[in-house]
Amino acid sequence: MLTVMLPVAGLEVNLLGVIILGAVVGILGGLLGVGGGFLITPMLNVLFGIPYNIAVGSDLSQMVGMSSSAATRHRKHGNLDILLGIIMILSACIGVVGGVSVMEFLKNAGTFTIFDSEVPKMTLIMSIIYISLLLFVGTSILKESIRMIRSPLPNDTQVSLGTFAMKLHRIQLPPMISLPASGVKQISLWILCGIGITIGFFCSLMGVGGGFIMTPCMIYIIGVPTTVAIGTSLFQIVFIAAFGTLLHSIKGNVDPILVLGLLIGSTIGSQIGATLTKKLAGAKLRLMLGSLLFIAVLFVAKKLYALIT
Amino acid sequence: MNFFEWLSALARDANPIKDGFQPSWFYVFWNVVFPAAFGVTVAFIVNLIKSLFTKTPKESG
Repeated sequence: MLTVMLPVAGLEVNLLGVIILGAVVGILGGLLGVGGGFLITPMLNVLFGIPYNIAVGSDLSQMVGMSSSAATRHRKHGNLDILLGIIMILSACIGVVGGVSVMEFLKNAGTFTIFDSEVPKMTLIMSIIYISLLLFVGTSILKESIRMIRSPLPNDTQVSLGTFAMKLHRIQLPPMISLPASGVKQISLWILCGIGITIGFFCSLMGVGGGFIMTPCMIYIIGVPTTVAIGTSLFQIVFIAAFGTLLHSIKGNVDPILVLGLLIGSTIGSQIGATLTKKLAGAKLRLMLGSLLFIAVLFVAKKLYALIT
Repeated sequence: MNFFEWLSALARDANPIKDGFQPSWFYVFWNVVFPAAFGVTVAFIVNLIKSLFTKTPKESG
């Protein structure tokens, strides 16, 4: 039933299964402002046996469609800060170049021997970076959102900034800009560029769209309201994923039929997710995002364990 | 030739396993532009459907 041949992957898959997978990831994307790259790529490999290079290339291509659809919906709801998005995209590009250089260095760094198993240094170092980062961000979000759910403020869409974020906001390094769409009165452009470069660096190093790093940074460091952070994050994912798709297409890693199946599911799912963001409170959304990060940690840890043993 | 057959032909031309592989420019263009156009079109259609079915409250006067 609905079995199709994937011309680039050279495999037969159930198109309905691909559409359902796309829909699940689309709902998460529209709801939480994440592209879902860290979930859909391993699922394509585990559930359908699609090789990683084609899973990554096709996933990035569908991410362009899913995030553009969700970003359009968020823009309609007024959840998009275009100025902040453009600053983040431009500064992230600088970080991407740095991340690619580090990745090239790690790729040729050889292997470690652990429990008689040869583990590539790149895989081990990347997995540790991934787990540490996800645990740190996930724990911070969970702690804050649980506190907000227990004692909610009258308006919980804009979270109170932590000590580190407050210190950053006090830096008066010109040019100072304001972000009216996000309700940020004054912040140094250099702080935004620094955040963008850091995110771009980790995105290119970890091969993801970056929504799951970008969204918490916008909320907790810049002070952007949750729904605006999600819409703006999706806006920047469109451009990062398009750049990644371009590079993968040149190498022939994108399967258009697989992309079509994922797109049908994810665009419909993202519409549902974007609508749900208006109905769910900011703290509950952040609780979901935090939980999602812990699920991603389990995936990475399981893969690393399988490599070592 | 239906849409699926056309997509298959487009992708087969780009198959990196083939000797002398070089992707066609249209395959690269399609992979970037088609998803974006698809996503924006779906969002537009959903907004249109929502606006058609959402009743605006009448002003009382």
